[in-house]
Amino acid sequence: MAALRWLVYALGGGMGHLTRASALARRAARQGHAVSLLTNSPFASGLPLEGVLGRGVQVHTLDAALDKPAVRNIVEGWLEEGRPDVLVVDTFPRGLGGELVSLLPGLRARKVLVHRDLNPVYVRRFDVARAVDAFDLLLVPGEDAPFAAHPRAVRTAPWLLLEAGELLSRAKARARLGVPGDDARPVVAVMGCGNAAEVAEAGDIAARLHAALGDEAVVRWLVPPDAGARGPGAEPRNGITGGADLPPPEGRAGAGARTDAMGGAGLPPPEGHTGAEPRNHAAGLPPQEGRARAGLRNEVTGAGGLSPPEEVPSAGLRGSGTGGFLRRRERPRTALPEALRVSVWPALAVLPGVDVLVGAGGYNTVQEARVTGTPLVALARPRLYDRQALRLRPEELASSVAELVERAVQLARALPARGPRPYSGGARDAVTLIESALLSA
Amino acid sequence: MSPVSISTGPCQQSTGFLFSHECGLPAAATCPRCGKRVCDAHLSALGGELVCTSCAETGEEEGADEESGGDAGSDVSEDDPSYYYRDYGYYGPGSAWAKDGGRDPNDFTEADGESLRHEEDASFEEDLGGS
Repeated sequence: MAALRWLVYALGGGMGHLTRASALARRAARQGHAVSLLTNSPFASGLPLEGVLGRGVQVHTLDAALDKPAVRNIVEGWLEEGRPDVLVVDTFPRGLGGELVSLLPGLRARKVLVHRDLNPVYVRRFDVARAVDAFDLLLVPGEDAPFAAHPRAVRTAPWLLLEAGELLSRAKARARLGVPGDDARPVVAVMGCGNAAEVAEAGDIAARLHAALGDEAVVRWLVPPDAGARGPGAEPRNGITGGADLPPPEGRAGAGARTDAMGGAGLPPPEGHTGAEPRNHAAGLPPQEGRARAGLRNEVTGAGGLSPPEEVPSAGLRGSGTGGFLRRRERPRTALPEALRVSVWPALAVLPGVDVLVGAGGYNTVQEARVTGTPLVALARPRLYDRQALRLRPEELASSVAELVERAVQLARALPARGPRPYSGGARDAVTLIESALLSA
Repeated sequence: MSPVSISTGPCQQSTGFLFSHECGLPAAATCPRCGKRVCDAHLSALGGELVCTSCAETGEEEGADEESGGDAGSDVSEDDPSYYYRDYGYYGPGSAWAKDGGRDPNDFTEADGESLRHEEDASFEEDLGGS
């Protein structure tokens, strides 16, 4: 069908809204549509979005600290100037701050809601049912949702950022994680995401796993690019930025040091992309008097490309194996997580090289683990709208950090076979459904 | 003390510190005065019988009026706010808390705690990073 203008509203904390919306935007752009994606994820500025999303996706990043009036002004301007054929709203039919309630009636575009589970108290008290009725199509991406039985709701498989063929092979994924080719030990990866405190806590969990497993497994702390030692915007703890001089676990030269190749996870560039175009910061929304635009940063303008990751020689290790046992004992405890840190996004690309995934019950972590058959043990993190405990299966859910570590150790030692890999094309189907809705308009 | 009839169903006593709502806890009895189903927490002693806290409060006010004949017989100083506002403060002369064996109808209950928990709803659409 003819190229159309899509606006994708992906406001919300953490990385979940941005990642899920990116999955849709990426495929819509590959179908020739012009896509504008709005995010306020505090992680967004560090992600190689231009490389992963490819040509035709324009990402507008709002400062995560903006208040409601400022966000409303920006959203209003984005809708006015975007002149969309279709508006796709992730999760929040009223908008993250309720701003869409008054903006949607005047918008001449097809409206699509990515409908997911929501806190029932919020649904009841904010009359979300009425807000849902403003949408022409509800897409339910792989999980149950309060209005999944709505006459205009359509279920799809889970949405994933990458196609099955874009994931790294096991060997390449392990290399990307800094595991030498001759190292056959299982890899336990702790996913750092959510918010700064949770990224930091993931590092501490990785350190505990490293101490518990010793030479039995390779432990990695997966951190979004530019998340810093403790998360987005945080300063490195104790001034430690590398930890590269930390010796590896005893007897495993080269296996315990930091890999810090920034950027993508080694994905092939999007079709037609040379990888040479710089970011275009000059193509932001035109200034408009009276609007609070100071927090809006235009990251990408249709010319994105994935710069190849830094070469990771046999593991991309730096300065490993330089210290003996006594030196290691003398080092501050806090140095350890940094030594396990791997900066990677999207982490989905390296999951074929992960034998045990440790994390939280967010949409993307859980769905990515399941479609790649990666054993998962996770905490249900408290969220204002999302109920992670409902998403996790009993065998995946740990009730405390201590239980999480214990069960991850057990999984690493037992090395269960990877599950089936029912890789899904939910986002691709979603694009087709939206195009059908536009044709029927 | 007169017996009260056993009742089933939720307690119908209105409660709530900020928002008035029915208590909702399992009822233990029916108030012999108004017929309302009430739980243990909303039963109160009045003149030898167990009644709901609303009837207890009403009965105590009527009793106090009869005893005092209005404000004329009050021994409360004019400097005390309860001289002008008889129910001033939880522990004033009109408070059931001041009566032997009574329950303070203004006291917090579990239902109040529940109503306060709902105050977290204020974060919805306000905490823009909390999703």
